[in-house]
Amino acid sequence: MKVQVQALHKRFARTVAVDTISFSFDSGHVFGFVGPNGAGKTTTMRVIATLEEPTSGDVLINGVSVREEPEYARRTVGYVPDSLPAHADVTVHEYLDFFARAYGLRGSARGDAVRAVEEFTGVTTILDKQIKALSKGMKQRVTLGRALIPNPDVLILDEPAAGLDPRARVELRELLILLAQQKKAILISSHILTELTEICNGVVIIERGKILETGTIDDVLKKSTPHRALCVRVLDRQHDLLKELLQTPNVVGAREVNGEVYFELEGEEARSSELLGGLVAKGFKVAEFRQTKANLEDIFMNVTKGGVQ
Amino acid sequence: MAALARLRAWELNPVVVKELRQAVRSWAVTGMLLLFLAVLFFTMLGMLVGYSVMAGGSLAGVSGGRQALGRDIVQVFLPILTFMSLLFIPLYVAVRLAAERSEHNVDLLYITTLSPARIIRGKLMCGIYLTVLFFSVCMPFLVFTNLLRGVDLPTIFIALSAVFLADVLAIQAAIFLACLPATRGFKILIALPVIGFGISCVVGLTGMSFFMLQSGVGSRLGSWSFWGDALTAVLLGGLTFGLLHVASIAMISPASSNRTMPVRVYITASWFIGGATALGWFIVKGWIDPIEAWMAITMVFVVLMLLLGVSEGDERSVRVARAIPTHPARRWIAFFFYNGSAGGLAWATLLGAVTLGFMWLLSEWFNDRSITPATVVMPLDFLQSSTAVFAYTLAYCLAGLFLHRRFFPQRGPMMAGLLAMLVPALWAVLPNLALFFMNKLTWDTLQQRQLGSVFNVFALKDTAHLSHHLAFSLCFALLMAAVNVPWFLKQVRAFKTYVRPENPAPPPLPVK
Repeated sequence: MKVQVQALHKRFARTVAVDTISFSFDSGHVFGFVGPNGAGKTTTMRVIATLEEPTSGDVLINGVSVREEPEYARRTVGYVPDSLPAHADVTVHEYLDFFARAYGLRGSARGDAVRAVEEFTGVTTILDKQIKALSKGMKQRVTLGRALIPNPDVLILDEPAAGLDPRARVELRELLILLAQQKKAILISSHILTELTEICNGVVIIERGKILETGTIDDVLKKSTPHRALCVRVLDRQHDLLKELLQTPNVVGAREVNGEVYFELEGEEARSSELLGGLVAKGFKVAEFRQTKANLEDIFMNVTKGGVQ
Repeated sequence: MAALARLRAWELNPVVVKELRQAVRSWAVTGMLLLFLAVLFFTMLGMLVGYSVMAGGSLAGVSGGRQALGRDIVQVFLPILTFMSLLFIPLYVAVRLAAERSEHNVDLLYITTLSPARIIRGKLMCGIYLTVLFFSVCMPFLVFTNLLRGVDLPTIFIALSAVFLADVLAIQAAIFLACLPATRGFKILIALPVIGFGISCVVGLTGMSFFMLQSGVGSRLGSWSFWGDALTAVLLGGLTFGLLHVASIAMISPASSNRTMPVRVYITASWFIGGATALGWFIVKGWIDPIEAWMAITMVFVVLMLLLGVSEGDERSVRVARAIPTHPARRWIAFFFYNGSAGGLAWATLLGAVTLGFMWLLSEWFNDRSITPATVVMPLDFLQSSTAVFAYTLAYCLAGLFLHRRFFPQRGPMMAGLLAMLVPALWAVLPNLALFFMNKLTWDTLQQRQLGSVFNVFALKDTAHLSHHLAFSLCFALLMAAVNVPWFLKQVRAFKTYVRPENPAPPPLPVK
């Protein structure tokens, strides 16, 4: 299953929400869709889920256009919106059963599908509870369950972790990893970027409707931080170390944080070895010398400007 | 066997299942049902005890010696039932649907394979099931009244049928209001006069039921006067119901679907059926009123459709463009019915022009008294004012369209509709405002000829000025049509089957 977003453009009156973006993702992988508020993430996701008609461009799911065959897209895409279910007087089981009926599942097939989803999302203990009485985490599970009812090949999740407590976020992350193992193509938008780093294979960074970066997490990390980020901890003379590093050629942005000195080093890996040798030779008692890895949050802060439309 | 298999595989509409489950749990439904039951019970008990006391312990001879206790109780029950079914149930269904739409839950329904038509049918069926439930609650009490004297079964059956049909219409009207793409406040604002109308319907139906109960309908069942009135009411109600139904479906259909087509097809079919029926009445009975009513209703719809048509915009979704026929003749027909301002304006104009053309021809025909009965008179004023209103509306819409496309192309298509309403408003207000500041505004000046103002057509002192309005409005419409010809031709040329462009596939994201 392959999802291709092709030159997608969406305009609301004078506002360009999505400005001719193209990317694609495949089954078995989780792709993060990252951007500040108003970047065009939700609009793009709603187009993929056939809830919006693009101004131009298209989205192909296994080569089938969502504009031309929206019914095909509805059968293959499970969409988890950023709003939680608010139906009154409906229990969890009835809610899932309703969507199973709405997707055209009949008889025992419907019962099996609902049961499987209830077990997978871990809502079997709250089946008779009313939707409105659920916590945010549980509502999110029910929403995910609803999207999984037709067993879709593609899952689009819009801010699924928003407002969840740490435990619920960990549980959601585990569910997503399991879904990726089931060969589903998953596109997920979230503001909790450290979590995306852990579960995503690839990432699309978008701002003002335009793509800023795309690629695997490692590629994007490398591209956005070309210099080696390093950290040195010495047993004493921290201020002398900072002065020394500030005067050293190829060292950029040296700063002291909690007794450790962080900096970036230009050039090849051999240079860090030379630098360490030089520091030891100058009498610094180096207790720790390590490379710090930038995460998605650092990249996000580097490449975006926080602009909205 | 295949039919049997289909029957076995048949399942209730998912929306009905959900709605009924919600209704069962809802305090509103349970509470109203219990209240209804209590009111019926205590009403009956009170009346039985009261009448017994008045009759000195014997039910015989009560009700003024007419032995009509059953009828008296039914006369109290029917307004209660009518109130519940005509106000509470439609209100309940509408509030549910409006709440779902405001919470974007209908969006969620779109991403399933449920069609908008099934969603609306589900909501409607739920309302009908609730009505049946309330009727069922009332039924034992009604059966008991039949054991008393003074009421016959056909009368009860016809009165209940009338209430039931009116309720179905009210539920559909409530669904229509709930589907309106408006804010909650605006919907409440619209709902208030509709509730007022509902209350007047309750009063009207109660009055009709009283009349039927007093006079009895059993003896009239074989007469044409009864069935003629009844069938006309059912036909009008049915056409209104159908229109509200297709309009509701269109309103919740995705913007990418060809949602105007069912509405236009339905209105065209209704226009034809209505016209044929009115003509039938004229030929059989020599009545001109149905034809005039048909024309007046058509004109109201044409005016509304012109305003809606001009607000539609020129862009057509790929889904709609794909369905445009390739055959030239079919494509021309499709042009009038598919989404798009040009098609919408052309369709409404054609409908209005054909109606008025037919009426003018009929009017000419009437002048020859050897053909029509001397008593039949086609009022020329009515025809002239209708034509002027149509021409003015067309001119305003075309003016709004021109102003929008020329000066505000970045604004949404709704702007054209707003301008189409702003032009006549300004035209009517500004001259009178000037007169007001010159201290010359009087009731007489308002009733004098003000060419260009459609409102003046309805307030003319001298009806001879109608011909001036007619000539002016037609010239105005022709002028506006002329300035929009390039736009219209562009739209006609653009109305062709979608050919998919060859977009290069984007590079896939590498994965680790």
